[in-house]
Amino acid sequence: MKHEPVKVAAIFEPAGVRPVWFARGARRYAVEQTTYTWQDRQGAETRLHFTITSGGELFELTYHTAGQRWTLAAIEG
Amino acid sequence: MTQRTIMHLDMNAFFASVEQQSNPELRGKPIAVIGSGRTVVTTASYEARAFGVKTGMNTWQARQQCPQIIFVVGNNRKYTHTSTRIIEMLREYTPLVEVFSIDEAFLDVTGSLGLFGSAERIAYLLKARIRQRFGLTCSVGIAPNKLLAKLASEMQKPDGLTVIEPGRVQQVLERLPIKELCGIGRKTERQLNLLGIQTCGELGRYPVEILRKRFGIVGDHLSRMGRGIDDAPVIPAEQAEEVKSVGHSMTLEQDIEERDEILRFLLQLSEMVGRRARRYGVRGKTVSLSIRYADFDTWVGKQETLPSPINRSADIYRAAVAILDTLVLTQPVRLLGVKISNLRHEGDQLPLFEEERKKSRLVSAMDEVNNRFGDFKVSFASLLDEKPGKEKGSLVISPAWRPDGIRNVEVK
Repeated sequence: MKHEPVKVAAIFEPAGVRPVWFARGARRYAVEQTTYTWQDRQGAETRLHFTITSGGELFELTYHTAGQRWTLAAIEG
Repeated sequence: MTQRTIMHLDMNAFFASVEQQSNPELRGKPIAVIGSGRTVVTTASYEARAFGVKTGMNTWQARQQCPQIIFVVGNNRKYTHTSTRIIEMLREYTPLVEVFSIDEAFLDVTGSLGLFGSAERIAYLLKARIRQRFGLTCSVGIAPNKLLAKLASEMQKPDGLTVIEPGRVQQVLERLPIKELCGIGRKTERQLNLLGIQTCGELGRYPVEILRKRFGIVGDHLSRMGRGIDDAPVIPAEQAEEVKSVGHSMTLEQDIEERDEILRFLLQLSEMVGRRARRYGVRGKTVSLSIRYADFDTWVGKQETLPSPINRSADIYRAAVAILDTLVLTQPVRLLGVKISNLRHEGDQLPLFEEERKKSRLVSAMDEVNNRFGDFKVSFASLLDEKPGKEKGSLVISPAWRPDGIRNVEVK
């Protein structure tokens, strides 16, 4: 799947960004564990990637720093 | 020369371990990381290695070895980011860090011992921090030089820490097979075996004159290796030799024969080379084209030196096509590579003629857009023929990848 826009609640701490939940359609997913984080650049924009688990599923959330928007990049069930 | 303390750090099954950390379902299972196009194993987890799965196998061979293997398509940007952060950590302990590959580095910690106590302590601190931040393990070797430090890190995997004390070097090397030394490949090993040399001890004692006669200047080096002597310094990025070429190659998803298709890939490669050269302000006077055939064993390569250095993608492409036109291709093509060398470090010069100025302005405008929105956002119309959504650019992390400078190729 390719970067679907999603609503995300996240805590911005000095140590970094920590997603807490995200909503896809009417369903809200609580972030149980952030298993990996990394960042890359798309042109001039820095993107932060978070692999997270929720309800036994694995998701990849991306925070696009330039537009301050979140997308869901991949799902593995 | 004072006694040096060199450390070699080697991330264990790097790509596979990153994927196992990302996806807890994969932990403890045999997995292999593969590329998105061709189906070659780039790294296998230790669980898969136990079944005989090795880097370079295709998926069919890997499944033969381990029917329950899980294939994971690699995410190069995850690996380059992780590697870059780990290298930053290493630089907190010494400025003398030499990145050997994406998952290996040498550190000269001689000058840091007063600050941190001992090399073992530095190793434990690094191992703990890498495990805490990424959940990854590494093997560390500590020795008086790079050759022995690398050898030491190979001795305990995964998650090892091996020290070869200066006084123990001879004892360690005495019965060690020569192939264990970094730099002795299969061919050299066979040649040495023919001289009756099987172990490092035997190599070190072998008359250097005969080695010199057989291997030339390398003979002396081999003799020193056999005795565990290596004076090579740890060279940090800022002291490394200037790069001599800028090149890109790509193994194609399918073997191709059609000229139009070959030209499209050459244009893509020329744009990748040109972009990188322009970003770092270099121009190349020599353009090389390399082609590997479907059998992967034979390849053709040719180069052409031009009257003046170039870095515009269209010029590089034109030169590459001119070389292609001199070649008779005897098989379908599997790999294509374009390179500029004979480099000149010089900024943009305003061309004398208006037509050339227009071309320069066009290239600058394209670069500006691509710098802002990402590579290939604006590109040549003939590259638009490809399947929509198909990634363009470097899909593989080259062994020459480095976290900084011109070798820091952005991978997809």
